[in-house]
Amino acid sequence: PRWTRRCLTRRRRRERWLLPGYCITNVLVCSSYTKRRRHSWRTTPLTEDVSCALSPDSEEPSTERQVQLLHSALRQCLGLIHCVILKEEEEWGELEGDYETMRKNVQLRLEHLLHSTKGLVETENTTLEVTPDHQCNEETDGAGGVFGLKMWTYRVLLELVHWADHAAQTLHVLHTEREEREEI
Amino acid sequence: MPRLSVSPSSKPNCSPVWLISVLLGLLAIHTNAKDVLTVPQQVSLSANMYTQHLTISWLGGAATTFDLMILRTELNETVFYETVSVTMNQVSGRHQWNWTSVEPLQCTSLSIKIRSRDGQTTSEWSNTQILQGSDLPSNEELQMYPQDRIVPVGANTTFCCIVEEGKLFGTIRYGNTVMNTTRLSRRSFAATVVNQELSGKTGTNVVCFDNPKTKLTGAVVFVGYPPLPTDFVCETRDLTSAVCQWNEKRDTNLYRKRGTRYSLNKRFSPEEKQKECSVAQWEGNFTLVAVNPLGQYSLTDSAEINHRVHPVAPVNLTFVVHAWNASVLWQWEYNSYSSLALDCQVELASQGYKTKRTFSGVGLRSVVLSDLYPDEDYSVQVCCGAQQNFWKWGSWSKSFSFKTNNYVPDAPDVWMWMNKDYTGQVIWKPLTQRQSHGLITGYEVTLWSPEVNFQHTEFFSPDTYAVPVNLTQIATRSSDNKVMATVIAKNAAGVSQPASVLIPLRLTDVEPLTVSRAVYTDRGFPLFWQHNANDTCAYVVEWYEASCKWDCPVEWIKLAAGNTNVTIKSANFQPGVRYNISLYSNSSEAPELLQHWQGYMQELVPSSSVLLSTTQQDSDILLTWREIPLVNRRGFLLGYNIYISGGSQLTLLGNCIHMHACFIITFITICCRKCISLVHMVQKPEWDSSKEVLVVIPEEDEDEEGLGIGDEPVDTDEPTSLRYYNQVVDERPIRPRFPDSSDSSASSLDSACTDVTYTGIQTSGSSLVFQLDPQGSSEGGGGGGGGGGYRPQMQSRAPSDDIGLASPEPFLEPQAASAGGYKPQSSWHFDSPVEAGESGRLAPSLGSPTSVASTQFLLPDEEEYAEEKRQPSSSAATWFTNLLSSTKP
Repeated sequence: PRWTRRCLTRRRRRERWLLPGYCITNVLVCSSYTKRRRHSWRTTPLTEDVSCALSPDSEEPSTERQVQLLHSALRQCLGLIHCVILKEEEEWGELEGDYETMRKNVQLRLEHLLHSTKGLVETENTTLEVTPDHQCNEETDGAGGVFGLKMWTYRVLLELVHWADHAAQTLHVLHTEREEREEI
Repeated sequence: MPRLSVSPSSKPNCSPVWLISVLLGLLAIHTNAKDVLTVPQQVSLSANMYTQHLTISWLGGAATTFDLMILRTELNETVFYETVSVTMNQVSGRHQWNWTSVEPLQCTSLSIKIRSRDGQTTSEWSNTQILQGSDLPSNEELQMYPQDRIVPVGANTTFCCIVEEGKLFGTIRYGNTVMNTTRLSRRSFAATVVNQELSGKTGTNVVCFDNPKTKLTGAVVFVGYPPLPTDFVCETRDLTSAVCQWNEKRDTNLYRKRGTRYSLNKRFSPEEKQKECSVAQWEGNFTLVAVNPLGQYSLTDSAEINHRVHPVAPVNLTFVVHAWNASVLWQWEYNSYSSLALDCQVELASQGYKTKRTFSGVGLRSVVLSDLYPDEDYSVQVCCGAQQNFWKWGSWSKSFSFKTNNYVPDAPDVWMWMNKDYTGQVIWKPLTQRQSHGLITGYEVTLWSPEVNFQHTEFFSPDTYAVPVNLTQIATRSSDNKVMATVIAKNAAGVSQPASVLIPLRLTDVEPLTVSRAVYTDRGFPLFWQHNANDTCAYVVEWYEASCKWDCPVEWIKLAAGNTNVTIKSANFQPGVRYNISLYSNSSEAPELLQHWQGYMQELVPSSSVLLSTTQQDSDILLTWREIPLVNRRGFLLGYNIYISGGSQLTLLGNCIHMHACFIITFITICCRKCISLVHMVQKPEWDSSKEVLVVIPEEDEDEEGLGIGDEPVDTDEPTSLRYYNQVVDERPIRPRFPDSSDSSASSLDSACTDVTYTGIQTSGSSLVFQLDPQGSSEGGGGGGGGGGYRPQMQSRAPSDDIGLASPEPFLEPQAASAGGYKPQSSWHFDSPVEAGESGRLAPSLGSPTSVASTQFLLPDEEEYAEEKRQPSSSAATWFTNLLSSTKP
């Protein structure tokens, strides 16, 4: 199915030494990946690729459904960003340069994307939340330590990059399909 | 202790039996010692992974010296092997030794064994104790140690990386630097960073990669400084509690949980960033302790509370405002201030200036600010300090503003300008804000003459500063010689004191005074005058543009009696403008003109040309020119140069420093192989015939000779140039210059060689064709219709004043020759003399087409010039004689 092919493509593209091996195909992966990571960050294989070939659904979901799943994933990513900000402030306090500004911008744009996707696919039967879906009560990576926090922050950002890419593709497909329907 | 015991022998010899006995004895002693040295038992290890300290304890019996050996278990490499002295702990009965590892203790397993030593005698080694590292096969993960280490700048730190089981080691990077590594065990590799520099705020990353790069792990190290607080001082704001403050001399580079913690008298300061802490009661002695992971630092401060009073800011400022003063009232935040002797500063700001005034008092809560100005905005801030044992000024209050009340205006500064026909103006200077004391609502002007019982009052708007007056009727009716003008200013608070000026009615009777020249300096025109000891009058110095004749915009300054000098300044002074400056007495009588000056702020090149005319009578040429209008002179004229133009070159004929200059020029041209023109000039022959001059004028060249115009006896086409000069010299090269090519169409300077036979020099008498005004020419200083000396308010305003005959200006210059009578006789003139006069070109000195711009000037210096003033005839004769001599071949 198309979904699977896309993930495989992504996998090949990610085979670079610093990229995590996760190709997330499930909205739950955002949180499950952090759970898996908890005691294994030091041994995370840099080229390992896990479970990206299979979608949890036997059939490919509809585009609307994909956007709903996307929305849920983005919401969890927003939670992770909140958590990153919280932990970084706790660890270092005020940081230098533009880093804090850029970090805030990422958070604001992600919130905006959540509102946009919600507006696209919310129905009477489906209510979508836009609040961060993360309690930030988990440990970061492995035995902790500042290096672990940095690695975890990096992976959260990679996760976000992935879902931002995915959002661009999925929303484009949704837009195309809806235009075709209108033409008919 | 085992001792060597040697058996005494009375018969020492070297028998074999004795030797065997000794050897056996020694063997016995050795065997006995071994039995005494205890093999260390119950060796135990205690490790502090963060500090990398290993504590080894054991039961060692009575021994005090031990050999300690520490090996890396896997590779059996010795890390430490030394003999150490250790005393037994009397309580536990154990011996203990502390060892600090260079590498983190997790890096690899360490084997530790001990033996007792006594001199060269040692016990057996104890059982080996192993401190297990994290590189055991059961721990397969990729790891790095130490984690989150905090070290001081300049420290050396060893990091180790334990590669994943079954993988190969790659590299260790410290920041971006690849480190040299040493192998500690099968999986463990170490790298040492020396002399570490400050890390970033988020620490420096130390990263380990396997080979090939499939995984990474790492650690972060923070490099900073121990705390170094300074400037620790405690003071009180409320006279009860203490507020202590300090600074950090340097940034420790460690933040949040690694940051510095402060305690004041063993009470912890809540905030890391805050360098201030309060104590409810003044304790007299204060101790600050600053602690961070790299160390601690203490500072103390001791003082009595009344030596450390730092007052708070006064609050709730209010005002009671009057015209010339105001009271400022405030409150204190603490009642305890009511008994505190205070010095208070009041900062008063107005019109961009700030002043401070100091007041004292116990519990001071109000002050009176005197010497304020009415109707003025002020802003006030107050701060106080303890009067006794002053420590420092307290905090400034917020700034508060008020405006003083109105008050009657000051009397205006009044003066007058009179024309010569009894008309004029009463003028006064606008009142400044500090003179107005409130918005001026208008002026009241009264003219009165007690003698003729005349009084007239009028009201004027606040923007009026000059009122025209006409005293013709009063002048005819009154035998008195003055009228009084009084001006009163009004505002909402009332009217000012009247300001008066006496207007003289007999202006025409004033005798003209000599005119001095005022020289401008950077600061203005400095003026000096003699003081008459009997004079008690004050003075008025007035000035205005000399070219102005009617209702002139005059400026003035009033001076107290006794002054003998002043420097007048004005933003209105302009370069190239002549100013008349007059000194008047200012008393109960009408102002009397005492002295008069003229001066330029800066002299400029004259802005217009002269109007030169020629009249030919036979071979004589009469040159006449008109005076340059005063506004165009732009400096004091020194004289006129006369040139004859030979086409591309100008030849100086002579100069004229007298007014009414008039030359009779006789051209005498000798034709031989080269053309030579001789010009005989006569200056004022009717009163001094000795000033004749013969000038040889070489012709241009032979080519021009070939183009000779003809055999005319006199070549009147030879253009003559006149240039007047003042002290500002036109620097352009000496070449004929025309105002404009169109202006010179009728008078070409390309005169050809004149091939005329010499006819002799005409007498001066026969050349005289123009009779000048004998009065005007009598002394060079004589002049215009005014009849001599300077009379500032009586000058003719006839237009002819500006276009009189040319008059170089002697030092004592009359106002120009309004007597006139002269009319240009030449047909050469500008179509519009006015236009010529107002052209304002910077190419000066070009007269009519007949005259040609010419040259640098032969300026007589001041002394010569002055001398010429005194003896005009003889000096002029000398000058001409010299010229004649110098031009003779």
